[in-house]
Amino acid sequence: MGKHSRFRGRIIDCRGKIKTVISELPINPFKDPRLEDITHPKAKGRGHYQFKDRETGQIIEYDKGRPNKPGHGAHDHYHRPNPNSTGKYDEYLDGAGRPVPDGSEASHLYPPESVWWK
Amino acid sequence: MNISEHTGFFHDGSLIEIEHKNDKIILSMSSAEVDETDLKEPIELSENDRIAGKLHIEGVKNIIVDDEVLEVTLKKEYDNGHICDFEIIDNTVNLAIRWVNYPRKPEVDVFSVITIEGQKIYWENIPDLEDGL
Repeated sequence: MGKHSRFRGRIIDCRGKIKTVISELPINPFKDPRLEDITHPKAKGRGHYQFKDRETGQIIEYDKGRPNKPGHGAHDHYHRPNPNSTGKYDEYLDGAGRPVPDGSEASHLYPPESVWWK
Repeated sequence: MNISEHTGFFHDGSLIEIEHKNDKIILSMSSAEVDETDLKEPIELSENDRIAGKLHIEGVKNIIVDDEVLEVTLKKEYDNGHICDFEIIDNTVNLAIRWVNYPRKPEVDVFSVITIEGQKIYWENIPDLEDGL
């Protein structure tokens, strides 16, 4: 899903916040030919999108950031739903593909270009 | 605490339960994980660093789900409500929810926009809320 060599890791941004970075995530999913936009019509326009990898079938969720929101809500970010989840405690996958809870820090994923640090 | 100042933390949180009886609605909710340094005022968080509790809406005057007035009881029909948007403006609660069933195969494709107008809205903070993560 990206033009970079594969990289997965956690970095600290200029505010001292830890962010999980995955190089395969595109900075603009709407322009990635490998992704199919499967967003629910009611979610469109509210900044909450879902895409399906045409090759693997993997679904990713993409939330547009809003500057007036706290935390991750202020920044464009991704989530990877866990297709084998049994509940909220393993609903998403972290950067390494491990199950993590809904709303957890580790469930928020970023492409490298969208994270800045000094 | 004035919950309307903190609704932004509920993006990526959970709508855990809905209790609707007569003109009263109680929404059990938990936020996403919160960095305490982002809080404008001290709030007792759950063990997993979330704002968890119940939103009480009393004197409910109007419920709108997906642009249609709801004439029946508001219910939670799926295993979890993933909160995409949550805000309180004056006496109106606005929620955008992506519903989830477990396991996620097949994926539920239901998204609801819920607006509830009441006479009084207040937050009951419950850090040890059951299933609040």
